[in-house]
Amino acid sequence: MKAIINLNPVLTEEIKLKSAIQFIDYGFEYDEYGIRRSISAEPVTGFEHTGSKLALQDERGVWNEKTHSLIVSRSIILQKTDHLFGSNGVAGLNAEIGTAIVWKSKSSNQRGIFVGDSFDSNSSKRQFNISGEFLRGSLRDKIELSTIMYIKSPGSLLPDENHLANNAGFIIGEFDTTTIHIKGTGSFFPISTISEDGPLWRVEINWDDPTLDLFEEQYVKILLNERHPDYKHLDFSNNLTKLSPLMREVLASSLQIIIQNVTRTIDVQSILSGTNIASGSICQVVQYFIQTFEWNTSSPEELASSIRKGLDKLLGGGTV
Amino acid sequence: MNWKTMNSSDLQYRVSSWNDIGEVHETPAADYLELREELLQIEMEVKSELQISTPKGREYAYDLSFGLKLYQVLKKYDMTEAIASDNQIWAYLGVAVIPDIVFKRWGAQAHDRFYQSPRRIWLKVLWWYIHLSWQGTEELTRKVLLTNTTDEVVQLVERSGNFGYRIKLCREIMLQYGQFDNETKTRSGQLFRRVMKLNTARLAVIEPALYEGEECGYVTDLFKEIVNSKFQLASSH
Repeated sequence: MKAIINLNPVLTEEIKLKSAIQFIDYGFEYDEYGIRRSISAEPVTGFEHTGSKLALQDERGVWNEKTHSLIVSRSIILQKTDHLFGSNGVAGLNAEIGTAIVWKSKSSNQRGIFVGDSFDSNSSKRQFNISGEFLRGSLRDKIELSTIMYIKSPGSLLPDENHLANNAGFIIGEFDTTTIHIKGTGSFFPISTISEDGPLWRVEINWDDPTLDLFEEQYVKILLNERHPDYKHLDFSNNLTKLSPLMREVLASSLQIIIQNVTRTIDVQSILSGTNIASGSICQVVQYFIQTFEWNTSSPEELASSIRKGLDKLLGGGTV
Repeated sequence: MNWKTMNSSDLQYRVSSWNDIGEVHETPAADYLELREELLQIEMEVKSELQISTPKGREYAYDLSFGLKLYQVLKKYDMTEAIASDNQIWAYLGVAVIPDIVFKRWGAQAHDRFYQSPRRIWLKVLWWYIHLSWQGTEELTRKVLLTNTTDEVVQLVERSGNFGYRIKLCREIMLQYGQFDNETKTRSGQLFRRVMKLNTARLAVIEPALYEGEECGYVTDLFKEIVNSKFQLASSH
């Protein structure tokens, strides 16, 4: 590991405290026919306490990194900026400080920077915004985001400021690093593993009212049995385009079970009309699938066939 | 395009029967047949343009021309940076779809060029070389790359860093390097290699996008330092 020694002052805890620096959570959005839609970012299991690893979940089930761009934004609030400037700070009185998000995605072979708002010692602004866009098809697997502050313009240093950074681009503070897991289209499939003497997979349904209950593990899930000898053939990973053929079949059959269970109590026309259906509910997800992928609910055999056709269209690829 | 992958045991199994007299066997899935035909076609065009029957002796010219055409063909099939980062997709292309073309350039035993070494898979290297050098059109890209050698390909593509490429930076480096005449490139003694080395060292402390003049200003200073130091060294002797 390389050790970089900074000879110029950088943001200390004391300066951060005096400046009352606050970071607003990252926001994630996509554009759908000119309308900005939010994507929620939930902590990855096991990282709830730090929030340093987040998984993107589009409750509407539309966003997919292959077909939509991803807009990332963040705001920094500084109640007082005067502690950053001058001989006791990190930048000269005539300098300009910039904000930015550094992003890295080893799995996508790329890294870059989104440059945000900047300020000088005379700025009255207190909130500084950063945003940037990842174009469709540019990302896979995960990205790492760090928020930074840097010297945008050093200005002319005063005689007592010679120890301060005098180069544009010098990073005066790197803050929290967050890893974002991109799962794309299938992010809302509630799949868990179990270890038991039993079949390779099963669907567990615990909903009371599919028009209200969310399409989440608590109410419905596909359980994969790790102890089953064929479990190794499921090849289940976050990358849905790489599902094994067996896993695709599990997914297709599970979706059929879920849809037939929903339509047993609520007729298809009511689902399609969307009346009295809560956002993110099981019924809304079923409505989305039926409409988007033209799933045919007229008979079990038509449904089975159209689900598989839809999955091929949705997930593409596959292994040979 | 439904991009296909192949697991390593399957890859090994398929290449194990190949031999050095060119008995490599393509096994493309049905939806890859059209792509295979297009790639065979462009390979023929490249040989015809260069008036060669094999790449031997004209390796870089062959790589550049085939790379540019490959890049354009794959663009039609919606090749993206995300897909191009998946080694398995390139392995499938090299082993199952056009092993005969890869064979002509590297021989049957260069398994690292087919699938084995992620940084050296030939088709992947060519795609990223063109992508990292792309200047908006095939013509402009060819112009900046024309007088390079296979060494520049290696220096650019294999120096990806720990977290991937800064694409805008790479394109700026290739643009400015392409403007040097051959004499300066030679007189500065492995100019490209030296610039890439200095760049790697600088990136530990400088973020080019935040530099004065952004990537353009950063790269200008990078070349200035290497070229000037070489000239000063030469004139002091």
